Amino acid sequence: MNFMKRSLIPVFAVVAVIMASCVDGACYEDTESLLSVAFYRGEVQTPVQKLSVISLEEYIYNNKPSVSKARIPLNPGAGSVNLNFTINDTTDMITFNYRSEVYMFSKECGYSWIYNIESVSSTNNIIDEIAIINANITISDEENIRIYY
Amino acid sequence: MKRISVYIISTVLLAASTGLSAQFRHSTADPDSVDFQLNIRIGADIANPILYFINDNNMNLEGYISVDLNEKYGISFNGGYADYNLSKFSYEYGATGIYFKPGADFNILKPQISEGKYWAGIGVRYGVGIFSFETPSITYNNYWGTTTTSIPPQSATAHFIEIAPGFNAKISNNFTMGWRVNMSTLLYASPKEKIGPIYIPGYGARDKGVNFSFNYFLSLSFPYKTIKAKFKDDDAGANYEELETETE
Repeated sequence: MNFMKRSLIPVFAVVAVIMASCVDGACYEDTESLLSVAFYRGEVQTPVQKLSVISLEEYIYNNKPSVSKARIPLNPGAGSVNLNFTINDTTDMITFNYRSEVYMFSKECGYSWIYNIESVSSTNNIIDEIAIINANITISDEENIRIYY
Repeated sequence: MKRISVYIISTVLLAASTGLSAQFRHSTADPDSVDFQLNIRIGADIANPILYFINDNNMNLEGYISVDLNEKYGISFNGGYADYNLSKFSYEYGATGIYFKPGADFNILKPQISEGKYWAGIGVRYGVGIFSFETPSITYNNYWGTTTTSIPPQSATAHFIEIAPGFNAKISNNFTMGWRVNMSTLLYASPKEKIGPIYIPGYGARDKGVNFSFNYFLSLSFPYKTIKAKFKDDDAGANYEELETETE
């Protein structure tokens, strides 16, 4: 029985450690995959003097000065979004067509979405051309789209 | 007279044989050996069912059968059923399945201490989980509003290695109590897609490199053989050998 008594100390220690490890952690990470849009004049990345981006009633960017790269949320429940880009007071509408795929980010943070850009089209008031650099949109800050203006 | 002589000679021979027999037993009764009882144990874990009353998201029922091969080694087979449910602010998840953990146990106690009544050592097991999992609800909020979706049930398997140190003691002739700490690491889990299982029955959280769990087993012990285990006083337990085997 001495062994049983001696064994109780590590038992309680182990149970305490395991109970502590069972506590769910909180999510401190940004899980949203954002479309990264860079602005170019010729082959040189050039910040726009003022940028506004809006689709719904709420602005994503509202007259933000000196923007060289914009990060745009996509709609995981739709296959395309239309956004009005106002670059230096001139507006163009850009349509992004994409596929979305849900994935497990982590147990604490849950699920998120990644996207794959299939095509991009726009009006051409100030925008000259749009190029897809990297079609895969993840949580990384990698450049996806170049807007030449 | 002849009959008396026969009785006397028979008595002397009997006495002599008895003496020889006693002398033989004495010479083979090694003071550095000990009777060691080998057991078959069948047990059930009570720790996880108790924890289920505290946290009813995770029901885990586990049992085992083990057989002592000698004073040092044994084989074991653990099996169980797990029903895991997780509800977070943005998703719900469920996994249900069975698992098997065949393996071996190594007793590190000296045989003169253990005597088949106490066991302290380490178990090594190969675990296989067969289960299904699903995510019945995912809610995601961003600029565009709230998106909801779900992932239907999928079948999955997982393979893992487990190291399980522990201790048990025979409380009465046929009753044993003991605990194990299980440290598991995942070898493989399917499907390997981006929406693979979060929780694996018998293993735990998939995203952890090493999972820890705890069992407290209540067991029935059935002695099936007694052997004599030799040991050295200076290094008892390290150089003992099986001398003689007899069935009880």
